Amino acid sequence: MRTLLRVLALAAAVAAGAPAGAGDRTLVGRSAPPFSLSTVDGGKTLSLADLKGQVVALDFWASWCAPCKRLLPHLAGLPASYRGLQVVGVSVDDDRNDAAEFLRRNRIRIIALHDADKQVAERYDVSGMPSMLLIDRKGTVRSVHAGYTADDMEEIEAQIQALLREQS
Amino acid sequence: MTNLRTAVALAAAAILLAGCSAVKAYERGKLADPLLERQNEFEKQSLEQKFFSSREGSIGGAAGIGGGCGCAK
Repeated sequence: MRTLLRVLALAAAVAAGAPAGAGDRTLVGRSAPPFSLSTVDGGKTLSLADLKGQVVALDFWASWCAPCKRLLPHLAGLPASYRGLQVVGVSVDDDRNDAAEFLRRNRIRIIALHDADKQVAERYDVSGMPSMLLIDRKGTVRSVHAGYTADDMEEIEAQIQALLREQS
Repeated sequence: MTNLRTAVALAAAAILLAGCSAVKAYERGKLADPLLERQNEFEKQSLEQKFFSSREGSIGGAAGIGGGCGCAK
């Protein structure tokens, strides 16, 4: 019995030391944390505040992440169908050139930002790659999609349509 | 004596487990490198897989897709 208690105490101690793993879903319903990042080509700087009044699909991605590379072309095609939607890709690549090369080779045209020191990814508590957040016109995070499978697009588009129907 | 052994084992486990830490999802760039695949000849095996799926494409059952022309990776 004493041994069992010791094992349980040990398990509790280990669990207490483990990361919480709450993930970025805790952001839903809260204001999107502000950020200001340079573009992947290094030419400009863009803040989240610049996009206020528009629905934003904020996608954290990297050129080393296979599902991210599958999602990004789908997201890039959305603004053509949904007026008032901005797709912002935040690359967490160590080297911004890796991100730029992928976008150029696949002819993906989105607002492409580079999170060089991964501070924004940390602030958004990104729990999976890719992580795509939908932010409404008021700047509130409305949904978070961590990871990606082909079936997710239908749900994502339905949420975008609902957000676009809302008045600012 | 058994209690002492249990205590030592648990203490060792606690110390070893304390060294574990989770790598955040957005910091896994280096871990995602194909060179870190378990197989040690990644490029050779990738090429062999391509040839195999091209020749045996009609049979199926392998991980590769396509077949026939040898152009699908």
